[in-house]
Amino acid sequence: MIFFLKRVLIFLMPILLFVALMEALLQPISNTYDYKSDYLATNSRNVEGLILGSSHAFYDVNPAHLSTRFFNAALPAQTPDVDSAILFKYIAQMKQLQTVIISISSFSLYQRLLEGQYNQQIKLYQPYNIGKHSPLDYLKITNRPASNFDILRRVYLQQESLVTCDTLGFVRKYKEGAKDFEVEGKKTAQRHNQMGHQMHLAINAPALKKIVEYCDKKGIQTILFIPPAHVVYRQSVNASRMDTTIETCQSIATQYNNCTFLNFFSDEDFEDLFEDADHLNAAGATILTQKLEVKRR
Amino acid sequence: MLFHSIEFALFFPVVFVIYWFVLKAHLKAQNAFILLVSYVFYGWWDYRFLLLILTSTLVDYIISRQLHTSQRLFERRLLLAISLSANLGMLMVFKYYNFFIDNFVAAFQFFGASLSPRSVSLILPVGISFYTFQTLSYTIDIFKKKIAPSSDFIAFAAFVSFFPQLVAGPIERAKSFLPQFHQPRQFRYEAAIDGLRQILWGLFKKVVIADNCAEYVNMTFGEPSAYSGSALFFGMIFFSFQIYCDFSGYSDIAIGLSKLLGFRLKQNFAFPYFSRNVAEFWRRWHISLSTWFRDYLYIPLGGSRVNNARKIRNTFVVFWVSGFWHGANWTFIFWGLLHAIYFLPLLLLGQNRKYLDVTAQDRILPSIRELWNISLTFTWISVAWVFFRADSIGNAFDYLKMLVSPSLFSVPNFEGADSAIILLLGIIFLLVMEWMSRKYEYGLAIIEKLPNRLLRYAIYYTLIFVIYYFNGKEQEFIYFQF
Repeated sequence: MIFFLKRVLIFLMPILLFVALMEALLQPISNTYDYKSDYLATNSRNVEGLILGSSHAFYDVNPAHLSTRFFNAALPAQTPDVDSAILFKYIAQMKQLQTVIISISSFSLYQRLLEGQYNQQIKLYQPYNIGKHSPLDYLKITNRPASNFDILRRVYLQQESLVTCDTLGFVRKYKEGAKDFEVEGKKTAQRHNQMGHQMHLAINAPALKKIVEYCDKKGIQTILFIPPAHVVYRQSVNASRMDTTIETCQSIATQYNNCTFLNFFSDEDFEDLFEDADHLNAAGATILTQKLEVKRR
Repeated sequence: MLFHSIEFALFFPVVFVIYWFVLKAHLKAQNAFILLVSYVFYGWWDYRFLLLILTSTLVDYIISRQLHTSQRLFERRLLLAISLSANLGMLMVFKYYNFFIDNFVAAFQFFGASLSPRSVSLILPVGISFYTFQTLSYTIDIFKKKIAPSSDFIAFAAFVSFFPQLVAGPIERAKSFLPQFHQPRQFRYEAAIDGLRQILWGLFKKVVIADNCAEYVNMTFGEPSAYSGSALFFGMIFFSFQIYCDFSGYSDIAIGLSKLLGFRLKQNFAFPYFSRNVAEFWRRWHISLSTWFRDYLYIPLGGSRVNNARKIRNTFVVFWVSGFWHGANWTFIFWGLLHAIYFLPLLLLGQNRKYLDVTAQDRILPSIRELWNISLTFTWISVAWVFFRADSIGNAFDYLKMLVSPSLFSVPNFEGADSAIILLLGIIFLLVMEWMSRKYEYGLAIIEKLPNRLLRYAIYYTLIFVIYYFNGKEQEFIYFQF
């Protein structure tokens, strides 16, 4: 028995060394999540405006074009329940907060990061210390191995940074790849249509309302907006979900004086300003941000 | 708790050390410990499941003891009926209630009557079909006086809930498995090493092959109209390997873990895709379930020693029940009946026991004829899997219709074609290893025969690295739902 355990331990030694080495290499690498959580932890008291929501806010709203000190805390697939957790974690320090802008995408009210294909993504929120985390989440080796190898290659061999946002949290680096809107528009819409579940509406809609209600009480303005999308995306996205999303936002906006709802989904001003089927390019983001600035009090 | 999760990677070494080092000389304590950790393992999914398994265990323990002492046939039959009703009743309620309700409503609606019975929202307890069949065989064997009941409740409860095979088999028989709980267990170095090797092979099949096949299968079966015939063809082939590697991978891990704990489970898969006809396939696929149906259903119905009409009836009954065992959906029943149609000509022509030996025994490669038979059998089996995987029988026919189209000969149009090529290489490696090991219990067993230790270790480390690299697409084992 002892002989067996010894042999197994000797056999496992190179594997354990490999794991330890991987973890040692991965641990110091910061990504966009680390950057944004660090920023909020240290600069919350100076923030006058906060941008929340999914990649559509991350790509489409540039704080540099807003007249007060905004920070873009939006991240891919981020849903209102996570927005709410982030806001309430830092709200006590945000004494100067005047405006909260939240993007509501076609999937926002139906998706939960804890569910389905995004269940790995909640681990990325570990620096925020929100959501349920097992002690193993602190180990980066437990992330998807293929992406861990990709991270090591990009950081140590290609000297790339994994922080993909600028100092104000706005996207700095766009996704690479073909820009065939006809094909990508349909595929992206279909992917978004399959994301999440109807039952998550009962979690995300109240989470959104909770943010608006709290801000309303504190005299903080909230702007909910539906981001612009390419015509092909619009034609393929789940119409029923979009209708419910719009109705939910409208309903919340009519209940609270400090809340404004803006629907840019079919706004023709953005027709030629897309980076991909559902994200604006830099010029488009500037125009959208200016439109939001106009609505800001 | 999934076998390929980090939780299990931490759970099992603790169990192993306590089991062999702390409780080494105490059989009863070892059994009690197995029972405890099995309940922890099962309760990890949902603690409410424990009530079901405990009920099943208590009912069969009490009834089996009374069956053994009772001499009156009527009383014995009554006791057996109570046991069958309790076990099958739980299975019916949790697995089939809504299926029956939905079909009754549909049938009444067909005749113009409107019914609105209450359908209930029940969680299907993981592995209920497996432990129910294990306990059923125990009671039936005692009724038939083939075995004596266990007088040790803890040992019996540990036999029912033994965690390596609790949720997806192999379905063990009391005759061979229960005595292992009554005899002192010895740690054997060779068995433990063999167990580790089999676990490694099971993980490779599950994590590398099955979970990666799942991505393409979900794509093509999710929206077949978006794909070319060639992509649908690969979707079908990938599902054949997904279900095989998922289920046999689980069995390999279960058997390997049992070897580490000093137990011996029966072989559940004997390289079924090397079968030369469908009858041989059923002797090699999910062996513990096939033999269960043979012993407790097919033979009591008369088996094949009856006239042709009854042979046909018996075959259809067994395959129908086998399909229904897999799930409360007409697709599974259709899949079972399709296999009955494949099997019947062989039975009626006396060809069903034609291939009892190892494929291409004492030869490196199969003959042209064997290769043709293997390919043909695999094709029939794969077509049947389409019905098993599809959401409805109609969708399965649509899938096959779209598959057999001019685009069958085009380049497959699914996303991630590069990864598909890597996956195909993985499948080729799997087939080569299994072909070389076909005389043994599992695909990696041949490695033990390699004289060069360095080469053996290189293969082990490569497999571990590949498993690690492809991990992260964690999917539940398909057969858990059955």
